[in-house]
Amino acid sequence: MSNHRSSSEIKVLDGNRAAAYGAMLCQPDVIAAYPITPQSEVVETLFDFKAQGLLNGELIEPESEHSSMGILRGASVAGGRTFTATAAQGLLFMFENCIHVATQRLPIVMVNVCREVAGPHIVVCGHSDIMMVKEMGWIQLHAQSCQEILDLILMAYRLAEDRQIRTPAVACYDGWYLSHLWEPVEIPAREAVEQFLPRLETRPQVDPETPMVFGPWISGWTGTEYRYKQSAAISQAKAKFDEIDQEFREIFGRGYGGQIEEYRTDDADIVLIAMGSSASTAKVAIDKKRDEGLRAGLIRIRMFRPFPRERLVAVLQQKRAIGVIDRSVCFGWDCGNLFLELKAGLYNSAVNAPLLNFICGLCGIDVTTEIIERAVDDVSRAAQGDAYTEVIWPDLE
Amino acid sequence: MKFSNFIRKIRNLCPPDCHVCEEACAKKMGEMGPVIKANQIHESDVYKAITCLQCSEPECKDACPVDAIRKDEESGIVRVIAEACVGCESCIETCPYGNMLFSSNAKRAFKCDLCDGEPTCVAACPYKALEFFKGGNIQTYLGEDDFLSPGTRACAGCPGELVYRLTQRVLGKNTVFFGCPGCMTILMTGYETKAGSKLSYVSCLFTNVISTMTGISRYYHHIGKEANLVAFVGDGCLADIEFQALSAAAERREKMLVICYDNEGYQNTGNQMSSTTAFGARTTTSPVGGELRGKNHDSKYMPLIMVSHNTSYVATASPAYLEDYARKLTKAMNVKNGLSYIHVLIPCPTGWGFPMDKAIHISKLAVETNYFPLWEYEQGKLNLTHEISIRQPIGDYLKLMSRYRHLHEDELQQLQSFVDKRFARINSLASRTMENCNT
Repeated sequence: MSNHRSSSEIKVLDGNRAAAYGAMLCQPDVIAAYPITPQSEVVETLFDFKAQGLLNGELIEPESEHSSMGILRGASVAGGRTFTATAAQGLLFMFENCIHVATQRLPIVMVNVCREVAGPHIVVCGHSDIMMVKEMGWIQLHAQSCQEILDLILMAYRLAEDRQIRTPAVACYDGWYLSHLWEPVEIPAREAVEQFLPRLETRPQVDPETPMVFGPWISGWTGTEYRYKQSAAISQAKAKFDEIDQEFREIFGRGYGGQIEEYRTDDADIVLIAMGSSASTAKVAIDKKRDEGLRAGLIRIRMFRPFPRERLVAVLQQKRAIGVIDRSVCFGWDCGNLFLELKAGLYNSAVNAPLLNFICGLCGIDVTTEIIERAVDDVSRAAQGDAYTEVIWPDLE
Repeated sequence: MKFSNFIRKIRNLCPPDCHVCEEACAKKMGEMGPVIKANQIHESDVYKAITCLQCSEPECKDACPVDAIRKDEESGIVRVIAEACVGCESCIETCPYGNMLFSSNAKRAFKCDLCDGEPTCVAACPYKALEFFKGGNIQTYLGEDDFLSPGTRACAGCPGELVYRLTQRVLGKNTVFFGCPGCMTILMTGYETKAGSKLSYVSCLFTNVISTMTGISRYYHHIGKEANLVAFVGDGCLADIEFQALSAAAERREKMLVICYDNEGYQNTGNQMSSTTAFGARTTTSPVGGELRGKNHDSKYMPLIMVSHNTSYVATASPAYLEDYARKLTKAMNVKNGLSYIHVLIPCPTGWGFPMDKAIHISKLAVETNYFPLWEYEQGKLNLTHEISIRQPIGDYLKLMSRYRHLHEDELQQLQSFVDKRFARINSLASRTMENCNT
């Protein structure tokens, strides 16, 4: 373990402020961000850092999220490190530009504070925003604590800027449950961050001295090659995420397990799968069920894109039933998004246990320990061979 | 020195039997005779020279064996030195325009000498149909290099290509251009591994030109790099889909030059209506048929909107007034404290419906009718850069394009009224400066 921890400091921060610290530690060259609830404090804190002289880069509040991502595109094409933050409607407004920068392999990092997309027009937590854009070609990561938010941003830059990957990355955390939750957060020393995250090196792409057309028209064959390479590149992020988790542990003294966190899964008969803040609630319920004699475990998905198929298949071997907690709906499939993806991931694997889906925590409803305990019970009965309903909406019962 | 001043016809008002100009010239020239013929002027097109062009590199001068023809460095006037002329007529045979004349009385060549800078014919014309045109020195704005490769394509007769090429030559190598899908994209972007333009270009979406430029402008500022950052995009982009982004970038004083090539519609995709399409114009989304009479509302006036935006420099420009444009381009690029905006009217042969050789003529008429007045705005002051003594009626402009073929008289009058009101607003702003604001 390195000595750098001694020059770090601990502050009590909410998730938004932790994100701002994470970004500040990476010293982006250009930040362009538009405020939107529940993310506004990220932007405000960054501007405050600028006023305090803690941020050297350019900091812009543009007139929209679409322009925010466009600005980052320009700065990134020219070789700069960039950062933004958004949520819900803002994420959707910048969607076109998000796709554009992914196809152009720009190592942009942003934070999404998960919030239900309208309608109805309620400003609350949900995963519908980040699920709507899962195909945009970005690496997608999810945090469970304020500490992890800060750490995830550092890791996101490492992944995005990796020469074999060069793909933009979004670090997500639940609106309100994490964005506005105050926890102690260790802010690493600048030197430790620089050890983990080297300077961004790019070749000149916008330089009158070596004039180039960036983004010309291309043939269908070249375009197909672009798609193929982009697909191969994002998939590299899986193994790399596991690798840098180890490195992170060595430098900063904490790790999270890489693509997935395995909680009491080794000897579990049944496993729940969750993502985001609900996973920490779920752990409490899992512990309680364990105390009651049930061998239950939890997988927390940290990397949703690329989908951690191999790690999931490995952990889910021999499990007798599996429950997926979804905070979103996949319309047209009658289930949640995580459930759908898991099913696809398990096809042609040795895992053929019953899969149950619990769609809950939508529209700002809490995911309580009671709901998780009930999910464990349902999954447990399915493991014993009882008939079960595949997709359950606990909040409507 | 490469420029020429000459006399040109600017109004089609000559009554058939008016010879005032010819008579005035004859009186001035004395025994040599007039250098202009009234009936030739009657038949001539507007904007054409009516006599000697005072060529920048006069062929008559080269042809003269006794060096009797000189071009004055300051005034540009090409003169025949009477005492030196031997009457060999080589110059008369050489002049491609037939503007060198021979006097059988004096047995020597003679020509228009612009009456030493105060042409008699111009002063004499009772209809003010003639103008002493000062050709200016566009060449001094142009660098040596042409940055477009042969074979780079545009529609035949497109003045956008002319303006783009000139823009490149004026701004030079240290320039990064930004564009998006549109007419000029073909000139700016490449295909696979080749490009027609030799300057840096960042291709953008229709929606993210301004934001991409902002990112590069800010990053360059951060690393201390200087380059000309120039958007060359259409009205479809700037007036419509990116208006929000343009407005914000101007308000934030982002350092960049934004040039709007306004062909009054989405021409690259086949002439759909835009917010700069004029009232009455036929486009595919403002068609003519039955009750539909083309666009049924007035266009919005982008350049004046940009004046209200903290924009550091705003100007209008025309392909028919290239020296004016080059001067404005140079000024705009020198602005260091914010956004510059130049709005160029680009008549479109394909979309507007006129012959491919008429783009410059139509451009001139657009200005001379006050439909598209030439002005610039800087440091709180708006100035006209080309004043017209008598404005041409809008009908003269509209009748040259098939997109207005359907217009009834009352619709034409509506458009005339719109043009007059819009110009009156610009004109009233032009006469008011920051100092006079409180009066």
